[in-house]
Amino acid sequence: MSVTVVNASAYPSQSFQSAQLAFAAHMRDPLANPAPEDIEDRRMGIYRELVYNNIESFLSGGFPVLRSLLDDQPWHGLVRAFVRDYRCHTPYFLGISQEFITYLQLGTAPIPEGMPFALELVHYEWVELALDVSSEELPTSCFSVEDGFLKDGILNDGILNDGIAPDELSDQILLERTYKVSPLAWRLSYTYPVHQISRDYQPEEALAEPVCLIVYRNRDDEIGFIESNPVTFRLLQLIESGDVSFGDALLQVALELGQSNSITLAHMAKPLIKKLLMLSVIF
Amino acid sequence: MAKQYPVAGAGLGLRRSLLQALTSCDEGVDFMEVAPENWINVGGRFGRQFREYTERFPFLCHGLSLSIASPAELDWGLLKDIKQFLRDHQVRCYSEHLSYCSDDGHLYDLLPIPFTGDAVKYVAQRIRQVQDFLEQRIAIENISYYAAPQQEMSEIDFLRAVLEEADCDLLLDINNIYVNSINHRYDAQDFLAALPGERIAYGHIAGHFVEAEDLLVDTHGDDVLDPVWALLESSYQHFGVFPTLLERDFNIPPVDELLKEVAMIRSLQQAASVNIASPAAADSAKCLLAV
Repeated sequence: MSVTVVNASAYPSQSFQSAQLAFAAHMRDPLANPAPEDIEDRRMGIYRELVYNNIESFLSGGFPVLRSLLDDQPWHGLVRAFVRDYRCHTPYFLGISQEFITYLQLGTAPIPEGMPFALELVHYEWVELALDVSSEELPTSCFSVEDGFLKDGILNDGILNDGIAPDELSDQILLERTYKVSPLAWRLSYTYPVHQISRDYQPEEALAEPVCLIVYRNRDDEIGFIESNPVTFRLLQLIESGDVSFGDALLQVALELGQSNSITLAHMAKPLIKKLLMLSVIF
Repeated sequence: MAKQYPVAGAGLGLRRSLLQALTSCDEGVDFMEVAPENWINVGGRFGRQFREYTERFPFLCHGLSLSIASPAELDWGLLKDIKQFLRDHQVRCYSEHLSYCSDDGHLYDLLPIPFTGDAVKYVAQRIRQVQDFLEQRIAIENISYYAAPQQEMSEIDFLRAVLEEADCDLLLDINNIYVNSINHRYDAQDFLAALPGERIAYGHIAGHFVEAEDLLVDTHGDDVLDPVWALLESSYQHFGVFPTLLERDFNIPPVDELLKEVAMIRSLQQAASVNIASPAAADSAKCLLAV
C-alpha cells in the first residue's frame, strides 16, 4: 500500500483550493457538508452518484460474500461510512479492497450485530484477489506433479526422469529431497470458518481451534484452497526457512511434538508431499 | 514538416473485460491505451495477457489517479511506478486529466477544478514537475464537468492558459467538448477553433448518457452519438488528422460492434486526408462511407 503523507495544515493556501476541499467534503458526506451555493443541485447530484457508485462497485465487486450477507441499508451505510471517515491513499483501484480492510480494522465501521467474523471474512475474500494478480511466479521448470506423473526439471542426475508415476517413487526419494514453498501459497489461520460463510451460515462463535487454510495459485493460474492443520503449517515453515529436506523437517516436527508421534508423521508424509506438489504449494 | 504523433490511426482502450475477446484481433486496431493505475503491479494471468498486448500493439497510458490539480502533494511513489511502467511496456505517451480526484485521500473520480488564474499557475507548475520527473512531455485532457465552482474564467481560456504555461501537450477529448457544450451552453465549434492544434498529441472519442436535454453525462457506456462524430470530423478539418481512440468502459458490446466504431474513426481520418488533398475526392469518399 502506498502511503502519501499529507500535512493538512500546509493547505489550502489559496481560495480555489478551499473550494476544492469543500467540494470533496460534500462528496464524502453530503448530509453534513453543504454543496457549493451557486451550483444547481441536479449537477452536484451527478458528482455525488459518480463518486459513491464507483467506490461502491469496487467494494461490492471485491467482497461479494460480505455484500451478500448484508441487506441494502447496512451495506450502503458501511460504504458511506468508508467514504466519509476513511482516507484511501492507494492510487491503484485494486488497492481499494486493502484500504477497506484497513478501515474495518480500525474498529469504527458500522458493521451490523451478529457478524463477529466480518474482519476475517474480508481478509479471506481479499486473499483470492491478491493471489490472482500477484506478480510472484512459480518457476516454469521444477519438480512437480502433472497429470498424475512426476515431472522433474531440476534433478537430471538419473535418479528421476520425466514420466515416472508417483507411486513408483520411493518414500526415500520424496523425503530426502529439499523443496521450496510457493510464494503463491499463503498459510492463513482464521478463528471463524471463513471459507464456509454464506447467507445461510453465519457463525456467531469463534471455533475452539483456528481453521488453517492454504490458499494457492497453481500453474494454470487457478486459485484454490485446502484445509490444513498446524503440523503441516509448521512443516512448511521449516521447509521455507532453510535448506532442509522434507524428512529432516518431519523429524524436527516429530521432536517438537514428542517422539510418540513420529510414526504417524512418517505415515502421512508421502501423500502429503504429493498433495502439496500436485497443488504447487511446494516445488 | 508534418507533425509527429506518438501513434497513428484509430485505437481502442483496452479493458480487463476485453482481454479475452480481443485476443485474435490483429487488424482494425492501430494502437491501444490503458489506465496505468489498473495495471501497475498486476501479475498473474492478467499481467501475462497484458504483456502480450503491449508486445503486439503500440500503447498509450491515460492516468486516472495522479490528481494533478489536487491541493495535496504530488504522489511521487505513483509517478515512480508510472515511469517504470512506461519504460517496461514502451508506452508512447502518458496523459492525465485536467482535474483532481483527492483531498487528503482519494475519491477515485474526476472532480472539477475551479477555473481561476491561481489554479492555472498551480496546475501548470505541477504539470511541469511531472514532466521533469518523467523526463518527457505529457498530454493533458480536457475533462467533462457538470459544475464549475468558483469560476473566474471560461473553460477554453483556462485550458489554453494551462497548456501554454505548462508547455505540455493536449489530449483532445471530442466527446467531452460536446458534453460540456450542452451542459454549459457554449458553441462546440467555437471551442474547437480556439484550441492550440499544434499541441494535440492524440484524441479520444466516446459515448455519453443523455440525463436530460440540457444535461449529458460522460459515461463511456454507449455508442458514440452522431453529433460527436460530426465534431470529430470538424476537428480533423481544423487540425488535420490526429490519432484517435475509442473509449468504452460500461455496457461493453460484442467486439465486432466496438471495431465498427474504431473503423468509423478510420473512415473519418481517411476522408479528412483526402479532403486536405482534394475536397472533391473527399466528398465521394464520404458517399462511400455512408453506405
